Amino acid sequence: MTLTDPKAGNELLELDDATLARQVAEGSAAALEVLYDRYSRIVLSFATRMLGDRQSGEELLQEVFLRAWQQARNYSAERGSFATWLLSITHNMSIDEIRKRRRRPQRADSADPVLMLTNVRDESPSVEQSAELGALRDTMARALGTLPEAQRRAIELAYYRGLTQREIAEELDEPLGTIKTRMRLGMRKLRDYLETYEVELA
Amino acid sequence: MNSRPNEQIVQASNRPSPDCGFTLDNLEGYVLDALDRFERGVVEHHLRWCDPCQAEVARVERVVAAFPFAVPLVDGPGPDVKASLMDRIASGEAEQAVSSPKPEPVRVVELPKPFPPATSRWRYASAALIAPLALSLLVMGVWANSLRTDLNERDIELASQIQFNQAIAGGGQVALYSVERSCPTCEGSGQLGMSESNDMGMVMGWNFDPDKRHDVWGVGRDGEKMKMCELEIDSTGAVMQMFMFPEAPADLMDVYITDEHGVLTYVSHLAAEDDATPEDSDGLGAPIS
Repeated sequence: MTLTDPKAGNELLELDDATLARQVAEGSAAALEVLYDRYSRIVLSFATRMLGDRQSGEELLQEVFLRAWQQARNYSAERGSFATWLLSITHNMSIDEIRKRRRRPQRADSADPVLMLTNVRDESPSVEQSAELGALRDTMARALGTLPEAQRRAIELAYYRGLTQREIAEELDEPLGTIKTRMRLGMRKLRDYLETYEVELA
Repeated sequence: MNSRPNEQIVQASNRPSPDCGFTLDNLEGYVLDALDRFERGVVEHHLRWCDPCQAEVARVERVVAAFPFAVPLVDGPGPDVKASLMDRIASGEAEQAVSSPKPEPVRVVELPKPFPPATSRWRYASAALIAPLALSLLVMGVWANSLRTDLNERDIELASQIQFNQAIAGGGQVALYSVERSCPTCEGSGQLGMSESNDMGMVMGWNFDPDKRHDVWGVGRDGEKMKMCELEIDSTGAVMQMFMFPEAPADLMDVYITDEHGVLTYVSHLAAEDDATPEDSDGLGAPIS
């Protein structure tokens, strides 16, 4: 299905995300198509990073937009941006997939998809989907760069692998209290940094 | 509805109270979904009534929501991915939701198991089940007596994490569900605990009307309703009561609490509404028998 009516398509392109999301909730596949064009790249980027390879990322991308299609009624613009909602779905579905994989036997040479936050320098073409997202990405990269490695690692293992603090402590062979402290300090440092720079996070 | 003591304290100052310590120490782990289930349950309980801590959670959530924006961008997806997606939508593969999401248990508490799980149904309860039951009743009686005089409501909630476990599961897994009001004059609230190993349940609540009769019913997937017990509510409106499920808990959809006229007053949803049968989907608010 595509935007067969150019005039209608152009009108949709002018609409903001919240309006489009309402239309999706009312059954407009064309509105979903516009949102897909706006956010498929960042969703794919995030999904690829979460799952470790592009093919898995593309499969998840489809599932994320199908979920958005099904659940658009549950989106509330008052609670955050559409992009944040979409990426939250991406994160939840990625973690589900990662936990499924964890329950399956893994090859010994399986790549570790962690270390997402530690390598944030972008080597890809510099075309951003929007200046706003680009600015946010730069600010996040700077904020993450302020964290000590140990704090960042604890946060990564929770966010990207879906591990509990207890599981992280076991994996890193560190006391649970140490992991809790690192996670708390790291997150507070990030929060303070981002709030200081008054970044619009959601 | 009566205000809770701690709620009054927090709302008066609109700042975190000393009671917020555990939650504030675990906010980040909570938002990152990195707490174990027991810790998560305690934090969720606290957040139900503490506005300042809810605001702190929101601050941390905003940071986590920004994480995806930090990843390097890859090239966009090819046109075939979009075409496949739109085809799947056009084919009706993914129908749009028209109802609210499935209800989830509030949380599941898991502690070490000091007793082996019971293998037989309640009506064939073995000595192995009766022994921990008797011990549990004794523990609960002593605990309940002290609790009614010494603890406030929030402390009851926190203590219930362990009490549910000790009382009904012998240390095994306990699924906890909220007891929701289903009538405009109901002021009570509480929890329903279900052992996942021995068909035992427990209701713990407060602000129930002590002058009214309250019956507890199990509602099966086939719509059949079976009475499990009558609640014994003390003069303060508190209730702590164990009972046996008439069916294996997995076969139950809901637990209803009704008044003396059979009208639904409280409900705990144990399973998704999507699984409900037509027979029981229209029962809310109507006489149960």
